[in-house]
Amino acid sequence: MTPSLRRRSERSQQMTVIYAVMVAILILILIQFLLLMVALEDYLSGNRTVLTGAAVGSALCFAAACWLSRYLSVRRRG
Amino acid sequence: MADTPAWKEDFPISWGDDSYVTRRGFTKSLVLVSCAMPCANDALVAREALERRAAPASLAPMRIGSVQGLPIGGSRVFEYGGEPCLLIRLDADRTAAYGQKCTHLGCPVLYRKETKKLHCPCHEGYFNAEDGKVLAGPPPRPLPRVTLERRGDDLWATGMQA
Repeated sequence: MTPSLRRRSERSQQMTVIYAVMVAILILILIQFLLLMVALEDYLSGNRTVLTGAAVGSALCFAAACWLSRYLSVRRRG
Repeated sequence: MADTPAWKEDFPISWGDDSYVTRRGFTKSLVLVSCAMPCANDALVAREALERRAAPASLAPMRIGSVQGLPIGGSRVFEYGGEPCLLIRLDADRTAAYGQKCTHLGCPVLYRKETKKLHCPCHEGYFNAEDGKVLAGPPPRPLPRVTLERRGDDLWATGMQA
C-alpha cells in the first residue's frame, strides 16, 4: 500500500469513527429527551414514581456521551 | 500581493473560517446538550422534594363559605392546603369538593352543570361529580376528595383524601 493510499484509508476510517460517535450521541440525546418527557408527565400527573429513575437514566446516558467524546479525543491524540 | 487590499492585512480572518464548525466541535456541542438533559431531570426531582417538604403533614379545618351562598348546580373555587379545589352543590342537600387539578397533567377541571360531570378541557377527561371517579379520557386516578363538614349554614373543609 502506498503512503498516500494508506493516509486516505486512515482518514476514511477516522471519519467513520467520528460519524459513528456522532450518531451514537444523537441516539443518547433522543433517549434522554424521551426520559425527560416521561419525567415531566409523571411530575405533572402527581404520580411521581419514575422521577428519580429517569434522572439516573439520563445521567447514565450523559456519562456514556462523555465517554464517547473522550474516546474520540484519545483516538485523535493516539 | 498587489491585489490584496490594505484592510485585509488588519482583518486576516475570513467570515467563512470564523463560522466553520468542525465535526469534533459539533460532537462536543452534542455532549453539552446531553449534559442539559439530566440537569432538567434533576431540577424536577429537586422541585418535587421541595414541594413534599413544604406540604403540611395534616390539614387544619377551614371555612369555605355558606351553603346558601352557592346556587344548586353551582360551583366555586377555593384554596385548601395550598391547592386549588372545587366546591360543587349537587342538589339542595348535597355538596362535594375535589382538588381542581386533573390527575392526568394537572389542568384545572371545571364543573359542567348540564351533564353533572367534571370536565378537563385539556385532554377531554371526565370525572363523576358524585364521587370524583374517572368516567372517560386519559386521567389515571380519581380526583382527590376534600372532606366536608357542615356547621350550621357554613361548610368547612376538614381534610383531603387522595
